[in-house]
Amino acid sequence: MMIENFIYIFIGLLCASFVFCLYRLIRGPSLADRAMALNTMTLVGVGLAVLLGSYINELFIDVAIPLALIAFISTLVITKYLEGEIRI
Amino acid sequence: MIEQILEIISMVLILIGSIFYFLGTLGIVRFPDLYTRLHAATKSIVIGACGIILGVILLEGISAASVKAFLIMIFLLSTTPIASHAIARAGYFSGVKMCPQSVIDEYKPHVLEEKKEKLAAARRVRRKGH
Repeated sequence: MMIENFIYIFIGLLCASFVFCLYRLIRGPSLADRAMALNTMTLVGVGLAVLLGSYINELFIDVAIPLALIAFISTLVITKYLEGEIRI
Repeated sequence: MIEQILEIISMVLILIGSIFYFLGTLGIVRFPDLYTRLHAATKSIVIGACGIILGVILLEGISAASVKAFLIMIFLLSTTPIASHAIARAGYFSGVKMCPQSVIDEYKPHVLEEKKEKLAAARRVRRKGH
């Protein structure tokens, strides 16, 4: 009963962190900065999905699992590309 | 009574998690350098995710959704350090510079030693080939 009163504060904080990550993703001087911003942005999406899963529908928690997996694997692939071990 | 106390505890946990998310991403914007930005980003983001997931687990009780959330927390705790280490290594080897206020680079002698060992190993292999 109390989560309905406070959910706007939590969602507001998480959306502000989305905007900060988007700033670094657009502005970042190097490609490693952008990879870090993308990883962080996906993890913010995981937190938002879990929070909405407790508030709206339990199916949102199922969205969070592949988001966490994709964040990890895509970050590793981007860093391998940066080190020059694979070519695209 | 106990339910109300559990709800209050879970609200505090979710609030702590959201504040950690906010401050970590604020560090991404404000810090001057890739390495300091990584220091701000990954640790506080993991703490924020753990806070939100623990709060949701306390709110839901034992169910399928809370077990999934717990598995997500274990996965994040085990994989985010690997990702941040890989990003820092890739940034170092692709030539991202440290900020001008930084004092010491302790990774440089190790990199030089690794290079020397690789060259020596290659030379040894070439001699054996003859």
